[in-house]
Amino acid sequence: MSTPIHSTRLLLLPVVGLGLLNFALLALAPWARVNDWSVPVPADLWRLGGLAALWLACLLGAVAVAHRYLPGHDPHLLPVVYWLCGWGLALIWRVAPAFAVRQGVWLAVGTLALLAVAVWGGDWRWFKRYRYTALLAGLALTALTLVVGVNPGGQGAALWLGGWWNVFVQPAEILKLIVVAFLAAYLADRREQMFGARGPALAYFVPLMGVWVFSVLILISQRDLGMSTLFFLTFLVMLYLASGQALYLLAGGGLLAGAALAGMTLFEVVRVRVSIWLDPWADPLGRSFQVVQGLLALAAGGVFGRGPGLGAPTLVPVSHSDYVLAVLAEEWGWLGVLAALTGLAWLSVRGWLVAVRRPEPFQQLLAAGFTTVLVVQSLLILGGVLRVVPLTGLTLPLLSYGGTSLVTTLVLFGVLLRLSVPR
Amino acid sequence: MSTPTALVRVAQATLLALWVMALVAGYWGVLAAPDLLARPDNARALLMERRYPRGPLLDRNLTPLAQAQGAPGQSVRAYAYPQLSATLGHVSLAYGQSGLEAALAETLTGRAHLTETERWWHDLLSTAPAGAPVRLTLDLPTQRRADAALGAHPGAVVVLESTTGDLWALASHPTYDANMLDSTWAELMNDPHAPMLNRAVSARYQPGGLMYLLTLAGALNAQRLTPAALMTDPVAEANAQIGVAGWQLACLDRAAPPRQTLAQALLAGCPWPFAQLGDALEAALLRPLWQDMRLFTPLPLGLPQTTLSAPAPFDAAFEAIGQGQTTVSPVQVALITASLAQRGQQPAPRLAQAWQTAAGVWQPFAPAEASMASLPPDVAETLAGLLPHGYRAAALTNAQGQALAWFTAFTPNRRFVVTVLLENGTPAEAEAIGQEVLAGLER
Repeated sequence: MSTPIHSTRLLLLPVVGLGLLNFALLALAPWARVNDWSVPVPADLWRLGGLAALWLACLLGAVAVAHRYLPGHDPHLLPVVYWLCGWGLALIWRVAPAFAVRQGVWLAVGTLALLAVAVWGGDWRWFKRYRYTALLAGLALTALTLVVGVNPGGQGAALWLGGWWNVFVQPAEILKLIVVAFLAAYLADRREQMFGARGPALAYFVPLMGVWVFSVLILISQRDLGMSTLFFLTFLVMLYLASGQALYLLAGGGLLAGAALAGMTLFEVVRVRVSIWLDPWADPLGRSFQVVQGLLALAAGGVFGRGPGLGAPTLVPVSHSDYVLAVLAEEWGWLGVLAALTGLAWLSVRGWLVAVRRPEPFQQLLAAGFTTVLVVQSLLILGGVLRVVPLTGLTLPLLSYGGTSLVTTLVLFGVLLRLSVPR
Repeated sequence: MSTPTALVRVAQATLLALWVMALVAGYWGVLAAPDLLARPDNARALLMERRYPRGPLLDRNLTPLAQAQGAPGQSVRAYAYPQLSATLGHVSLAYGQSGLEAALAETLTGRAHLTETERWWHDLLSTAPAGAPVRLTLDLPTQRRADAALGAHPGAVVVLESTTGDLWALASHPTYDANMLDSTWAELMNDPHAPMLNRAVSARYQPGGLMYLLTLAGALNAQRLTPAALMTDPVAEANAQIGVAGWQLACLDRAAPPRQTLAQALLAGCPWPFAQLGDALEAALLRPLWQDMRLFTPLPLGLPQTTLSAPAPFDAAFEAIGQGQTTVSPVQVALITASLAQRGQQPAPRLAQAWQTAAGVWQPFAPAEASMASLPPDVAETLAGLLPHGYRAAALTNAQGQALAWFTAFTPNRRFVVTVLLENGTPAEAEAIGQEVLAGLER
């Protein structure tokens, strides 16, 4: 049986190779695009080199620290996480170099956060003592956006705090992790009372529902319907995981359908998104422009893709964030999409394995909850871009531009990494 | 503690969902791709032209009319003679293609003559073939004269070579500048004068007095009239007026007497005798003639056109004086005139002459249609003999009494036909413009 470091090295080699190859192909794209070596060297090419070096440093640094301080950790997590991060950096560079530089900075911050959580977070049982404090802090921070929230783009939903030194933080992303950890702690402690042989004790559901409803209301009032859907689905799955009873999933599914209908009645944005989903061809140059252009990017990529830097993904609006899948599909083709989905699936399997192997209920639910967040968020945005479900405006974990999203996702993996260490 | 079974089920469900997403991505990227990529709002083909520019559009003397300019990878289309924009069209990332740029896109981009293997190889490598130059039938000096003569008049001038069908000039005013398309799009779309409309090819107008010629042709062809009677037999009340849409249509020549021959009535622009003649000939004789003159078939030029079917019911009297439901484009009028000049043989019009291979050889385009006999030679000669100085006509175009002006003529050697349409001018003005263009051709 291979030891973790040997397994990590086995994965590191192709990850480093693919990542550097990706950056190299992007660097050569200006010449490849016109098949002419006389094109002058782009002025910002050194930034691409810097990004590649930063990514490599984060990857190797994380692996080295984990090897030193986390013996026996899951050897698959870090290589696959950083493979997707590097790919995301390259894709963002392709369509918005300025954002790629910012994402690089957030990658460095996120790597430090990942390592801090993994090395100093312990086994996270201490969180159970401070769960209400953490939850209140997260809710307060998110509620603050109702008062002083901003949008980095200048218009649209004001979901961010900050703007000082051009730094913006999206509290809902932080709240996402806090709510999952809270749910894990609460369900682990109250499981017997809530799902006992005598049937559900509603008294124990009340605070849980209260927390969940309050969180969702804040998000709905901010029109962050993607995040509120993510919260709802994660809550349902964790209830099912804690109880083992599919009834909660069925009831939740009914509630979700009802909420969707109510949303269509109450919110213009929901009506618009549903109508675009149902028939994007009715207004391809207007409201459905992003959806149609995203599908065109998928079509243009075909099976093998146009090649890094050789497609036209800049035709898709917000392609560095919501629609990064369109960039990937156009330049790397369906095979590239398969590879990315395989990476996400791989990470989810490792997350489920971490959950299964932890003996303590809280840690099981924590690992399972975080993995659920990762997968459900991926499915929601993938589904939106591929027109399986209405578009929700979430980020594709590790691949999309989004500073807070990247940092919180890396923290999520830091927790999984720590929980993967055998007791 | 979470139930292991529940956990396994959730894991399986999420992995299945990811697999479904992979299949859906394959649907959009492979199965639905051909239809998606053919959509007009897919700008990728045009974006590719910045890297692999399309070939130039040249006039018949190989003078560039439209060509790619700019550094490699940043090529844009430049139009050397913007007054031809309504014919040449445009290539724009934001607004697509139009005109000849759209009609000849496959040839200009070099894709028309690729094998399937070559196409597949280019798709795989994300490359494109080199663009191919296309030589048009347009003659830039003649085009300049036509545009200068038309001036500020809204309308069209067509110069057609009657033996070959080559269009030497297509003037359409007002026009627009395709070099400025992106910055002026909103203005152009909201302009009530429709500068992007190609009035020579794509617009259809009431023919009015032009139809007197075809009515005479119908009568001669059906032997209801002889050439001698045309020139000698008087018609009573030839200068009578006809009510059309609440207006009284009278002779163009206000001094025309009541007793005239049909030939005199034709040149005086008197509608009454031709309405009578049309009534006598009836739809059974006139409608087939209209069809033989290709009034209801699209022109094989690759440019957008409105095609009409034969009117039903066919009101022979009003159709005979060009105030029925039949409308014509200036190019169609030029073709009719060409058939008179060429003893009844109507040429097939063409704009694109040849394309150049990578080896530098000019390959002619296969003719889309052949010339056809639209009138018996003797009928055509009889009518041509009436028009040594050309023929001018007017048409009532709306209920407000606005009139169109037409002029059509051929050069003394019958090689070229010139047709003028003015949307709000007089027949005399149309004739003056036509004579100016003819003079340049005769030189």
